[in-house]
Amino acid sequence: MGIPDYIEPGKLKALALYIHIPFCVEKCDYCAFYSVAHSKAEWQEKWLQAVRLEFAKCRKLIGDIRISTIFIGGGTPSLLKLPLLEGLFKEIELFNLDGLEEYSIEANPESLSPDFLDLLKIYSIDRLSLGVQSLQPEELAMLGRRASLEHTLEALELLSAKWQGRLNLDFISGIPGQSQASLLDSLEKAIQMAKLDHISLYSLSAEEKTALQRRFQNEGLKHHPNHDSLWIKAYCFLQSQGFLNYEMANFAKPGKECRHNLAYWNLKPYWGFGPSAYSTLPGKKGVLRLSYASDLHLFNGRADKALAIESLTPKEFLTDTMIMGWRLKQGVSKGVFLRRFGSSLEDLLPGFYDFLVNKRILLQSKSHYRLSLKSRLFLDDVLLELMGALDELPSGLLRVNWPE
Amino acid sequence: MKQENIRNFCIIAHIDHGKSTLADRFIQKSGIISDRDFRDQILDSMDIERERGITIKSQAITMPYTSRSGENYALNLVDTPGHVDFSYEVSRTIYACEGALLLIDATQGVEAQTLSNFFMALEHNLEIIPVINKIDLPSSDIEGVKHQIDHELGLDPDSALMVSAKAGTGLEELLEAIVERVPAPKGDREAPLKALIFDSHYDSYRGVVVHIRVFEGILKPEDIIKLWSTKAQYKVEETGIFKISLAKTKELCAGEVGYFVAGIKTISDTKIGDTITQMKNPCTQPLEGFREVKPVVFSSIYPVDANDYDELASSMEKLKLNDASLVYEKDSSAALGFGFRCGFLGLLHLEIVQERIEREFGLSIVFTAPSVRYYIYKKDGQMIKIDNPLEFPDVTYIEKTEEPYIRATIMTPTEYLGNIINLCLEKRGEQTSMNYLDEKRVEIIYEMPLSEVVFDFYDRLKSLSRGYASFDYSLIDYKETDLVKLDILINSKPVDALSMLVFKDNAYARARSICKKLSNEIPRHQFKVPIQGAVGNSIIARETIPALRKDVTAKCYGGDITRKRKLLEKQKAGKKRMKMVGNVELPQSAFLSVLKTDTE
Ligand SMILES: Nc1nc2c(ncn2[C@@H]2O[C@H](COP(=O)(O)OP(=O)(O)O)[C@@H](O)[C@H]2O)c(=O)[nH]1
Ligand code: SF4
Ligand SMILES: [Mg+2]
Repeated sequence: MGIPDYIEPGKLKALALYIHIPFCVEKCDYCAFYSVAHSKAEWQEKWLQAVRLEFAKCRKLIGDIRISTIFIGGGTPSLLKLPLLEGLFKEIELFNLDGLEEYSIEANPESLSPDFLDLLKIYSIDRLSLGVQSLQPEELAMLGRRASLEHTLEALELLSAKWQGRLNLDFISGIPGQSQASLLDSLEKAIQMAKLDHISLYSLSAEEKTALQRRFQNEGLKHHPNHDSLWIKAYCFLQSQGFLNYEMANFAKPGKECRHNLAYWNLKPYWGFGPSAYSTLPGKKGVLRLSYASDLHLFNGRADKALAIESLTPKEFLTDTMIMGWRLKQGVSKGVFLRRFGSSLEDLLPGFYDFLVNKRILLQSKSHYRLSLKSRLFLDDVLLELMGALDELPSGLLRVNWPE
Repeated sequence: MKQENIRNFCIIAHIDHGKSTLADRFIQKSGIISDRDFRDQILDSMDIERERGITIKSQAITMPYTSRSGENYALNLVDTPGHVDFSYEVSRTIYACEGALLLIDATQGVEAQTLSNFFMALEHNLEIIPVINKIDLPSSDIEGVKHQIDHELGLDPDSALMVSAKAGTGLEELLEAIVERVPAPKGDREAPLKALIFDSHYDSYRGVVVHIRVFEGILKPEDIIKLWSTKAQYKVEETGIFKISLAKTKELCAGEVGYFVAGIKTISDTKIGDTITQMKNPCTQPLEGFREVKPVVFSSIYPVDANDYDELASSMEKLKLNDASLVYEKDSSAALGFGFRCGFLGLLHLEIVQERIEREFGLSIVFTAPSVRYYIYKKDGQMIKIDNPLEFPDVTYIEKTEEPYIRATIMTPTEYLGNIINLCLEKRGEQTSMNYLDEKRVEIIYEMPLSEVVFDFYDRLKSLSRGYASFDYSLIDYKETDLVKLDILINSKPVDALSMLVFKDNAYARARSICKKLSNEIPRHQFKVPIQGAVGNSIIARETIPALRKDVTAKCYGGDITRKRKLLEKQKAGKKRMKMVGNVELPQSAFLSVLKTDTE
């Protein structure tokens, strides 16, 4: 019940899977992801149980449709006891993994162990993403991270000794007290120490209801004054090191882009499991957005009750396409757009298209609607214009054919 | 109804002492409305009144009552506005009655408006019945309030009644007391007509409905009447009394409270406090105490979207139908385009008008900083009155300037006295008296510029006395001042709608505070936006809004695109309420933030 009635599996050619492991040792001050600190072993077992049931429903529906990419994120996947993790991996193997293009998992330094890496190898997990954030002790403390600098360096050494797969490291810029030198130093050290092919560099933002936001608001903590120039410096540095920016906050060696995240940015069908996980899937009457509530116990008890299903209007789906696609350096494929919406952007929204061209927001490209770097940095402004233009469009005009 | 069986009374009280709640109980008890239809605080009928809990317009109701002795009475309750901005309206309502229930919250005791209303009632010779309310609350201090009634009001504390308006206890006794103690109206039915306008409202079917108290004579349909102050004549179409809706009567006689309709087009044609008489056989003297209500606070209103000007114009017209004290004329600003210069009775009145325009007409508007009306004496001997900073002459032509002063009465528990005196000093107040009411409470009277009060005086008074100090004021006269025009420049362009006239010694602090507030309200742009305060050519304050932060580089939440889209939608809605000034987008909140300045 619940899910199957709405989804139209016949339209799926392949599917990206996401599994959210909602457990962390403790909450980092800046983090707005859903995860539970100090969880009991029993909660984790129940969580796996619930995931199993949801998987089974999904498989029943999609049959042997191919899984293209898998991403196990969190939370802190490396926190789970190995038998539990193995249980999850086994469960995942029940899907059709022929031709799986990428299989990623996240980990945090304090819980990275040789046994964990061995287990990944056994189950052919070929990409690891480690939350480093910084290699300066003061900055780690400012973020309220669990891992000390020692933990982090040990983890990097372990990886360089034992890990053969692909590797991403997460970093944060704009930490109060961070300097240009300290940021570049963190990046440089990491590049030297580990064989990485991917770097995510996020800028710190004070998300709602986080400890960090309270510190900004009540304890007089000051935002980084040169936040933007710091990020730009790091951008230039990474480019010079061969890590090319391909999405707003993501840099990769050529060919090493994260395929799973590309599925989000190109808005291909993805199905997320676990509390707070999202899905975008073809439905009987249009595109569906599914979301599990951010509530571990609800999910563990009655996952179907935790699931909300929303049907996207064509305008919403077009907005979503551009929200995600324009984050990419290459932009949104004109062919994909045409097939997805039955018309080109210039035919659909001529006024908006002229605006993009006249304001030099759009770069010249035969194949893609591609934004200049500056416009990507101010993407919200462009999106607001788009939404304003879409408001004027009679709603009958837009049809959606997806996945195309 | 025989005159002996009519009782006209009002309830007077400090804000929140329970006036509306008590009125509701009366209405419920009189059975003129079924419990099912009963909405709490039926007399505060406008949405905004109900939400803010402040009665803005006077309302009247006629309730049938059978006394314990078996007599049938008509009790006319006239509700009084509950805010200092409307004290003239209160005085006219009091004038329409023979008795007043002086309602005192048993947990708060006598407060500033309790006193000012009490004096007003005393002046008009009303029978005053002290009523102690909220006796259901554990923190009520009945003995303490009785002591105040004795010592501060000079009334017999044993004459006070105890009620809980909320629970409905003590109502029977109260109704009996009204019948027994409030004198029946006197007034000769055979004499020429003399009636008082104490309010009016606009009804889309009937036109203007005038609320009156008949003192002498009889008013009936077909009568040709004359309004004393305007000399305008009308033919009466309908007379009646207030049940929950209007109920037609054959006539209104001396002693009665009711309404008439006479084809009057706009309520500004009926002036509160004015006298009505017959064309044929008029009375010789009008009722006393009439005065034209004059606005004291001025501000301009502009539509956020210049295309909404016509709609704003028609909303203003409609508002005016029901708000005689609102005055306005066309105005224009380089920054904001066309709008209206408006006069208000006070800051609350301004806020109410703003809310009504936005809610009832769905328009987004901005207000300019409220100003009082100044007298400017020019060197050429001319005197001009200005309330609009744009009309401020070049300083070289000015001989001297004057601004209006008020007499402010503040009552406070003694522990906050120090803070309040400091506030009054900061607001250029001069103490004229200090009077210890008992060991714990003190009344202080200050003369201070009205301009200091229209900003944030009331909010600050409340906050630094934890809500315990109460405040009342009346205008006294004009006094010499030292006035300058403070201009605000955004991205180096002066924004005329943000200019204001300020006392010279305040200019520096005000400029800094405004620049700071604006810097918090104006969103970041793709470029740096300087905000400056200037007097003449000298810049006296400055803030800079840094260029936009690239928040797109923040972590993207997996597949949660909906959240991002919803955030954008919210931002888009906010943008609709922005006003482009040059190439800077000013949100409505930026203009509003200037209205409440000075809180550091
Ligand atoms: N406990 C209690 N609360 C009351 C009583 N009378 C009024 N209130 C409350 O006091 C507040 C102010 O009452 P309201 O009638 O609006 O006061 P007004 O400003 O004088 O019209 C409201 O929250 C009422 O519910 C009472 O007898 N007992
Ligand atoms: S480890 Fe990651 S998911 Fe857990 S609280 Fe910290 S940032 Fe959030
Ligand atoms: Mg009230």
